[in-house]
Amino acid sequence: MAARALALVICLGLGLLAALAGPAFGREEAWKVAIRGQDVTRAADPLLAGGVLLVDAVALGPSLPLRVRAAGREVTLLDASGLEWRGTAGDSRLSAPGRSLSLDRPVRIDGPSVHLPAKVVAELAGLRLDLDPGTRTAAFADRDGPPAAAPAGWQSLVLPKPADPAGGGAPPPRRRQDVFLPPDHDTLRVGLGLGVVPGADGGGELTAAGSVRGIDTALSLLATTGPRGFDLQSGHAALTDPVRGLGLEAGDLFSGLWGLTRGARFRWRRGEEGASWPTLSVYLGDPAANPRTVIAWGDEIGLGRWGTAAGELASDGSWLASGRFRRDRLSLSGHLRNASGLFGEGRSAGLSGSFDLPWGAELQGVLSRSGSGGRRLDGRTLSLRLPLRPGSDLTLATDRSENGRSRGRIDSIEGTAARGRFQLRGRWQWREIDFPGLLPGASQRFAERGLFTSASWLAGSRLRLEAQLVERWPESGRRDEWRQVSAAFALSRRTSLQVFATSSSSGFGDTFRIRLDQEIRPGFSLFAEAGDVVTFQGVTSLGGADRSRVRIMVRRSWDVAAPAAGSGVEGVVQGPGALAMAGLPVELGPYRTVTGGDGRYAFPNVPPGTYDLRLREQGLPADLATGPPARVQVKRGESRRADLSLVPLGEARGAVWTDRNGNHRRDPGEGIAGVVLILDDRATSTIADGSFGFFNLTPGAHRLRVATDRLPAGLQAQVPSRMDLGLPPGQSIEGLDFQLREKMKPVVFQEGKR
Amino acid sequence: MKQRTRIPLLLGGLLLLAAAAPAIEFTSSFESIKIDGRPGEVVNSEFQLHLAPGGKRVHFKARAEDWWPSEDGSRSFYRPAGTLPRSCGTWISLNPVETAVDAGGTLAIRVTAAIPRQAGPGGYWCVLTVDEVPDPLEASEGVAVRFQASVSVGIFINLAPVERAAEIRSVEISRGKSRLQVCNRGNAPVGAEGRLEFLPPGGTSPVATAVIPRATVLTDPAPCRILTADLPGPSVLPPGRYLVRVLLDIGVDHYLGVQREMEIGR
Repeated sequence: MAARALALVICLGLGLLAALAGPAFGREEAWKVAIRGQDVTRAADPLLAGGVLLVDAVALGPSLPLRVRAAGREVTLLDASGLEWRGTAGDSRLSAPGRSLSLDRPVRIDGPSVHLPAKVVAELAGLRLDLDPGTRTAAFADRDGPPAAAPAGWQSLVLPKPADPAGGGAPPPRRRQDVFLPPDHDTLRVGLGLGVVPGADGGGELTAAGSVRGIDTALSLLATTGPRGFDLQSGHAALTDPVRGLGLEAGDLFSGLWGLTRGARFRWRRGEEGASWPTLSVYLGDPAANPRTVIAWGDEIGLGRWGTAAGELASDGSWLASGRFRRDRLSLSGHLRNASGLFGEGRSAGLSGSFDLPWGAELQGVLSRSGSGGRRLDGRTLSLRLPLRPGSDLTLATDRSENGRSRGRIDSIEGTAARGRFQLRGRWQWREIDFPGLLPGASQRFAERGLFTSASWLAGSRLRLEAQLVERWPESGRRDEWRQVSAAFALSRRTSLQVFATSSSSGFGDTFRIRLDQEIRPGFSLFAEAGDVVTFQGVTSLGGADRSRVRIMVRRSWDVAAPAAGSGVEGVVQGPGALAMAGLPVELGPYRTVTGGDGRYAFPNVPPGTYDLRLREQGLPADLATGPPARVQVKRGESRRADLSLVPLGEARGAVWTDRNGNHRRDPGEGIAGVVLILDDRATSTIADGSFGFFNLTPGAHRLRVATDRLPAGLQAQVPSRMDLGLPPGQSIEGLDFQLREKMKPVVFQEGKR
Repeated sequence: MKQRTRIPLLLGGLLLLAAAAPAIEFTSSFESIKIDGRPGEVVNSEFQLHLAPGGKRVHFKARAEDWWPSEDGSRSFYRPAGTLPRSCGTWISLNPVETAVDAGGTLAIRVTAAIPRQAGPGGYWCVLTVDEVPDPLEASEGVAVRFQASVSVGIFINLAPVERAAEIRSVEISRGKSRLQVCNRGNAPVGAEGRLEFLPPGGTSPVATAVIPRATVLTDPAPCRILTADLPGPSVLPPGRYLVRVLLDIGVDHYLGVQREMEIGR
């Protein structure tokens, strides 16, 4: 019974203790949080960690001028001044461009909650934090103080400031463009044009140019519909990988062997960049040019600064060899061709060259031969261009041509003169053609003189006028004349008007055309043409019989986002003692970023290439230095890691003095001013008390010396006058003293005459 | 006689011209470096000075030091960094400290403030002084008059919570001038500027105003500053009785002011 009573008493006692201790323990643990007097404890979710009060910055954000966003282990805070801070879970540092902020406790991210020290939250929000440990209350309040007292006889006054008519309070914080990252996508510009010539035909064009996953992409397509039905007039598509040196194109191709033809071509780079570009082509049969489909192999070999050599060999036995040569003042180009198709049938050869003469003059010549037998054509041209003054020159030329039935000759003199916005060009020529074989025993001759003149005038920034006149005087026959005038007028930034007219003395071929270009909005334009317009399928309305034609066309272009091709470059910036450095500016070629709270940086989507990686010196703390830039080669699909480090700078201080009183100690007044000291390639001089200092020195070996050839008069150096220093990182070396002594003239006693 | 006196004067002038080194020409914003920092934070800034082209190469030496003005602002006092209790001079690192700049070039000094973790709230200040010094490697020109430039710009660092508060201690208006004493009651330097308004008794809009130019009012060691303003002439402000209102803007969300009716004589 007694034992039961004792147990009951013990239980009651413990219960009473628990009842008394319980609330007291809870008050110790639970903090209350208020913002401007309003209790926000529940949202703040206060936690005490290591004696530091943490609050949920995400939940308090709407009540504070603070925007907090957590994504995974990263947190972003926009503070009251508009500055963006970044941090990572577990880090004791927040970083902003050019700044870093150390935290008493690390960032704690738990789902959507981000707990930060309450003191830091108040600072970032621009508020005052009153912590009362007695009542366990944390109060966020505004910082303004009470109104001041007034001098005797005066009445105190507090007037609110008028609202800013511009609507702004404090000026927006200055933001430096510290981050410039590679675009996270490539861009392909796609264009579509549709046009119609009422009563005649219509056409459409599709173009695309840009980059997709780093592949240069180009497409052009022109299709028409009209009297000839649907006609794909031209088309070309090309894909080029500039990094790997590969290219594929199809459609309308130009071949030195076949001219413009349709087919497909694959080219690749061999050897060092630009050394050789072999090609494999398929040219489709075309009744107008080459009746057979052929496969051709070609190559273009770079010869360095000498020029290039190229060749192409087709499956039907056709071949082409060409080359370009450049040496000092001479440049030559030539070709040999043996084409079996209709186009350019037979062999042909050509050689052209130019030679730079003194005073800017230039001599040019061309030799050519094509065909054979009765279809042979030979040509020779020689010209000399003489510069007269800037924008003006004179050219003398003679041209000879000969085939099986005729010999031709054209001699000409041509001049260009420009003055201000006015330009004049004129050409006078004599032309003769002999037909020796037309009539047996007699030759026929055709000769004429011709004058070609043109003038253009740029009248201000909006109007350009041009006129051309061609006159010909045949030896037999009447004078022929042809005139053309055109005017282009910019009506506004988006509207322009062009007028074009020609007339001839015969009346045949007189044309008139007017065209209006209108940009409706960026990337969307319209043009309308009236008069003698060229239709899409090439039918012209010459001679004034059909001048009512109108052509209308609209063009639209879009920038389409395409996947990017770059690779990532990342690393960490370490300071003294392997300390992660936050908020430092890192540059990779043209791109810039800043290190995060953990000292890490990252450049995503960097296009392939070689870049200089460096820390921008002007953004570094003044007492730290970085080394020379690192070369980073970025390849497609390969991420690169490149760490950077900073070294602390140190100082070297000392004094130059003379021991005037001979006590082997530097006393006041014994310092010498104006003594030059040289440390490596830097120089300084002592100040009035004889002291000197070299600052911001990189750690390592340095050589310090007194410039003995620049000592003040009457003083000379005492050994040693130079020192070798080993400067530890971030340390100062003090007491680098140099002693000078006054020059003593020896006393030479005069010897007496004996 | 006249001829005799002229010759020595002319020679003296020529000697002075020959010995005087030309002063350098430069431009700079001269704007104070203002930092809103936090204890433990490292903040970078920059000072730039542009030398005019066509001059000579100039050697510069920079340092951070303490500064305060006399109460009336007529004199400035410079002392080694750390002299004042609210000095930020010992927090400052400079790079470069000593360098030479070619004519037409720019002197760019990195200014880094490493704020101690134990620094208390309030405002701290110091100045960045950049002196032109003789080029150590330049040959001496013998006896010469050399005008050397020296530029100082303020560095103000505020650590939250910053209390901007000031008090107008006295106002004196006499002989066409006003003189008011403003004392800092907060924990950070404030820039004070404002105006005097003269209203007819019972009126609501001023008949005349006088501008009080901007001045910095520090905390220690000179927490008070005398601000002066010239009153408008009698044509604008005729003698008479006015309600005189002094309004000061110290960078808070309201104007600080005092007012009283008084007789304005000339």
